[in-house]
Amino acid sequence: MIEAEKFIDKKSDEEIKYTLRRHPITFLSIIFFFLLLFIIPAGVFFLINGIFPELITEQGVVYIFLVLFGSVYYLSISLFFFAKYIDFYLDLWVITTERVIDIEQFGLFSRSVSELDLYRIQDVTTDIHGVFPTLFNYGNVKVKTASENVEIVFKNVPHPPEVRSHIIHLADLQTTEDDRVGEDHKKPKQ
Amino acid sequence: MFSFSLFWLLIPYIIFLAIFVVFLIIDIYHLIEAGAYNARGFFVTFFVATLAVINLTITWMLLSDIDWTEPLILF
Repeated sequence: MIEAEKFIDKKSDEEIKYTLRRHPITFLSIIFFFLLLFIIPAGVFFLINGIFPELITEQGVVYIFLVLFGSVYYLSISLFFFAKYIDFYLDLWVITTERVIDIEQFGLFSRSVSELDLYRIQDVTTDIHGVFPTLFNYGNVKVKTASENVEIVFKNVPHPPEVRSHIIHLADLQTTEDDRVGEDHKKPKQ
Repeated sequence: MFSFSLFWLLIPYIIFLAIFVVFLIIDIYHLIEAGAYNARGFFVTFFVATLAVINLTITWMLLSDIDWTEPLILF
């Protein structure tokens, strides 16, 4: 499991409640795309060889080019697959007793970390849209604050309704805690 | 007339291989740095490395009979 604590400055009394990442089924589209990219050159090769059998001879320059190009192509798509896996796996959403943290990996050289406090949460919306999300019970969870431009989206996480209710529950707890602390401060000292 | 040895075709390929290795190391570094180098991460690394080894072996076999000192005449 990714160490969420590496990306956040955990406070002494803060506890990580949930760590979420995308539903594994969403990686299937990348696997299918990879398989498609894998098959295409073989099909093209057999097509060219069928139409122009004299073009590809074992000592010819075209043959050398094709072999080297094929090698480069397959190495590139395997690297692409690895990069996509990292992009998929390093996207992470962490819910603590005080905050919601969004860690998103963009490609290999970019990562963004944003967070918002539970007591600022105004609205939590779930969005399960499409056949696969409905069948496999995954979707987006949008966490919004009163501010227009502050929003964290948990993308394609499993069990969005449960995640939503957990966030609301934790936000309520946090608000109650803040109110209690506020009232303690208001009390006159004797 | 412009000609060069077939061996020169291998130079861009070798440069690409170097880039491939660098990116592979960056990928593995990302997984380790994020603390995500678990069984799944190892499996994906193993899968990609295996594909690369198979790829290079097949390339080597297909090109083993080529006489790389032979000149390639372009014009």
